Amino acid sequence: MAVGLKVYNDDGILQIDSDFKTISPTFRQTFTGPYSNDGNTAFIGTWYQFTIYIPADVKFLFFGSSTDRSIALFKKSGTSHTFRTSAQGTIEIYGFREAPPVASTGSYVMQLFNESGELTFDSNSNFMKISNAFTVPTSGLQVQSYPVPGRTYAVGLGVYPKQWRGASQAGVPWGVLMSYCLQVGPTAGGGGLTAIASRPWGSAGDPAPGQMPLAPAPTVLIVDVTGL
Amino acid sequence: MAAGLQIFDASGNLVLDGTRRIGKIVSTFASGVANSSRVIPGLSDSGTPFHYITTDADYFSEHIAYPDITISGNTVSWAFLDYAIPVSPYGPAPRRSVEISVGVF
Repeated sequence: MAVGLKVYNDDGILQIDSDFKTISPTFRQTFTGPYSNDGNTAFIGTWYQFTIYIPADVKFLFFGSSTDRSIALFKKSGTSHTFRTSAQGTIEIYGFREAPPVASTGSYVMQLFNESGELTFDSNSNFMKISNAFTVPTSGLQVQSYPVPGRTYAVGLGVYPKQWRGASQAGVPWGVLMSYCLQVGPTAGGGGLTAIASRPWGSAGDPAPGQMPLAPAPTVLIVDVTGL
Repeated sequence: MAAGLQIFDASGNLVLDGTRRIGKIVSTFASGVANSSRVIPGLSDSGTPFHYITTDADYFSEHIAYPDITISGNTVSWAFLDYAIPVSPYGPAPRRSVEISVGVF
């Protein structure tokens, strides 16, 4: 940046600059149900399934919840996304896409322009505010507290790699589907690896499925969605 | 905040000050299906670099090879974790090109 403005926060971390790349909100839904449940809890506990339709232009998807819960993508076909979650109740869903900022019309605003004169930052324009990012663990769940009490946060995972593991019940082999998932609640968010589905794998005496290698752990993003 | 920039909206609500991180995505690109790397100059901005994978592919993603991503300085590298599927349909797990977003916060 030959000319322009850079703003650093109290920790000396670059907060905004004239080359700010805006990720803008494009989708918002409050999901309250219905949930389905297949009744199978073997090796996985109780999970609830729901399907929502997410516009194709959504690149970054986040979930907010006033109840601590895990969420994992189970399957996807076009804009139809089926998730599994560990609790019923209301889920706030936020979708973002890459888009230039929209100039606000208010009287009080700070705007930044790049060297080409293009608007790159508008303090009154909604944009994706990343508060935290970390790699989820390959075993169990890890959460971190949201940074500022009183603000609203949502959690996104991006991809949800899966792994089959073998198990046995009453002599019958079972396959247990492990999935990376996000964890979201009112005060903390994160993610990890958990079992979300299972099924018998052949008949008594058959071998259980071999264990698939575990995919690299994805990154969880925690974003400030206050006011969205 | 003892000193620094504060931005308020028309109602007097504090929109942004020096106590918060708001992060930014510096670059987004497709991984392709080959192990590779690329230099992203914007990752030199102060802050904590991160990567984030997304895909719009349809899936019931049990048997997919995903890339393992590392960031070292300004360089983003990715290498697929290849493996043989141990159950039907067997064979090598197909690699999937994903969108890699990198940024700092």
